[in-house]
Amino acid sequence: MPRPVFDEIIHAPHRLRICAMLAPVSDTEFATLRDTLGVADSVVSKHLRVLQDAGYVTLTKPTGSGRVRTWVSLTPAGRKAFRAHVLELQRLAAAVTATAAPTSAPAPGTTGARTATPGSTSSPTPRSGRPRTSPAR
Amino acid sequence: MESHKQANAGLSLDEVARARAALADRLVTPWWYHPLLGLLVAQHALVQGVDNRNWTLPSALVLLGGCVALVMACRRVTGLSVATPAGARSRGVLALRMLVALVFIWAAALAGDLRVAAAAAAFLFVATVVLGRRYDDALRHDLRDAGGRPA
Repeated sequence: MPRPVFDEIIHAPHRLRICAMLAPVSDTEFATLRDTLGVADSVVSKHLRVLQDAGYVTLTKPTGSGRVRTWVSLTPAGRKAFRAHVLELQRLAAAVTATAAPTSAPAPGTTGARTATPGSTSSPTPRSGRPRTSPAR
Repeated sequence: MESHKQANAGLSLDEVARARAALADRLVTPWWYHPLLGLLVAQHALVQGVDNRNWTLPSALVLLGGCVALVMACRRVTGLSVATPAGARSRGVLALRMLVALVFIWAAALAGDLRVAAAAAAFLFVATVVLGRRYDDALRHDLRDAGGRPA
């Protein structure tokens, strides 16, 4: 499993959706991507160019069987980067949930409050200097 | 910066989940796909009951070639190609499908009788269609499940 890494290239909404659609499939036709995203050809092309320049997608145009169609697929590097980005998003979302939950937990300093794990990046010590409580998981 | 990312993380995960759901909705196998695949598998089971063993290799080639042609045709129609299962559910149904096909073809070959082979072929045709549709449902389910907010 890759290490969670935030990827600015993938994070743009349209590119995130493109990668999310490409990740579980071998390849997708350009028109299918465009129709599912509900945007113009030029918008899809622009975002695919960015992903292609980063080495995250490949575009192929097989010829010889009637109308030329463009097929898009994630490269192994793109698949790994997308997976790492989703893991990072999940880590961040979990951190938000963890910091929002203590409102229902006992106030710091009262019985039952637990101290944050030393070295934890998701539960930093608040400005007050008191240890932040974390919900039981 | 980190807090901005945190605030957007949930929304971004929702975007991922929506994209996966849209993809799952598009993943509709053409009606002819599973019956044709069923016929290809059934002919291979039927050939096991024929006395002349020279038919086994051509039948296996028809099965392989037919599968490749079917997948390519399906890819052209749907604009998508999914080579592997997307999760545990679809992986399980695919394994069951392969196991049923192998067991019944093997049983037909062991029996070496045309009537047994015909019965196995008929069963395999139905099983391929039924389990194929189950696989499609499982695949769509797995696609919708993957990549959303953490549980």
